[in-house]
Amino acid sequence: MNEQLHYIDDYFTGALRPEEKAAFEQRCTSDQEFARAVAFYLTARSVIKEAVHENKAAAFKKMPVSMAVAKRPVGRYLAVAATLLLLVIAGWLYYKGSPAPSKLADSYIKENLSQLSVTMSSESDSLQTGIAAYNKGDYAAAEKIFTILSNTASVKTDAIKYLGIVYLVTKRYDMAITQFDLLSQIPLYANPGPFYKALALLQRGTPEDLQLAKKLLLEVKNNQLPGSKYAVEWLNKL
Amino acid sequence: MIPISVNSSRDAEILAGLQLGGPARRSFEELLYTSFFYLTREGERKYSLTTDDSASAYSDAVISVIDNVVAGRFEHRASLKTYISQIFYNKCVDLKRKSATNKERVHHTSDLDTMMMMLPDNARNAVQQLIDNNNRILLRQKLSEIGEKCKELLLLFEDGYPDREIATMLHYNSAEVVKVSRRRCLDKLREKMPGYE
Repeated sequence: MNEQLHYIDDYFTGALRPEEKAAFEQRCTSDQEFARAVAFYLTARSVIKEAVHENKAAAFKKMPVSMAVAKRPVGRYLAVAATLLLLVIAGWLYYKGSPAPSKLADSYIKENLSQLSVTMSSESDSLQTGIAAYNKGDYAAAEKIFTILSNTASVKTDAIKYLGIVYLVTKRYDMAITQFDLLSQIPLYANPGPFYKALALLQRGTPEDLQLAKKLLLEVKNNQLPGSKYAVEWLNKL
Repeated sequence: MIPISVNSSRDAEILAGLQLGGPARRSFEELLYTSFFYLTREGERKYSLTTDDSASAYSDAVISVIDNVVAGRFEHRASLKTYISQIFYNKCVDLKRKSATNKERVHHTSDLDTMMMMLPDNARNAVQQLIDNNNRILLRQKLSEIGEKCKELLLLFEDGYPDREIATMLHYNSAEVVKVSRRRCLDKLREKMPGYE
């Protein structure tokens, strides 16, 4: 490699000692070939810098207009103020009116599903491990355990129920509904599947969901299934 | 003059991001660009520039600010908005004065001038006489012939990334390897230039 280039690059990247710098500067005036190499080095770096700027400018130009057209700060403050005002009005209306379906479900989940009860059973240690993970808020671990156990015949029913609850509290309502559908299909004397499915539907909250949730709550009420006490209360409010 | 402290958290965020280095710097460059884009309306209104020209001047101004912040030349004497506005208005004036054919070349020689200023007068004069601006077009062409990796290395260095950061970004073993490779790439570029082989 050209040794001169090392020397020149060292100068312009500030790697030379003061006496070496002085010698370099002296050589620029006395050695034309060397000065020519310096001129080339500087031109090349300037051309590369120019390419950097052009690339950056091209990237900026490609940025989506919605990002590029930022609002003036005053406009932004107004927008924030307007949003806050809307939130205050919406909040007032929300609390003034009847409770929203999702609020009913929310409060049920907070009161009854924050912690799962630990049952004493020697044959379902893994289930207890899953419940313990759930109660610690480690939903990812709980989900893994209940997913595996949902294929184990002896604890399948509970595992499906708990897996659905994990999906419910982590707001993955579609997946929760799938589990509660599976649970509802299992022949049990008192199946909580329909009530949990109604909960998930109320949380998901599309207009169709509300209708279906009402239907399920009615079924829970009429058949005295688990959750019937809440079903009666909610049907009066919905 | 009493320095005006950086008066907004957004300024602080952008400045910290630009000085952070690494690939994350890009997103802060974009944030800087979008944050004050509304200034382009001033370019159109005050300097009667077209929308495209105003955006081009603004883009140049942002790039200058980035260069200055990365090189530690931004002294925090003003807010980012004031700083970028001043540079932008100067770019608008430059653009207005330039002939229509030369509009895209507002900042092109300033980088060379900045590096030239590192030399004392005598040495600068000696070197200045040997700068051949006709080489620039050919150099640009040859830059695309030295290989993508070499080109990327040189571009990152000129973008203000230190060798140790380039080593991380391009998976080199060390900053020293980057330095040697970078010089090899420059040498490769030199060898491709007629009269310098």
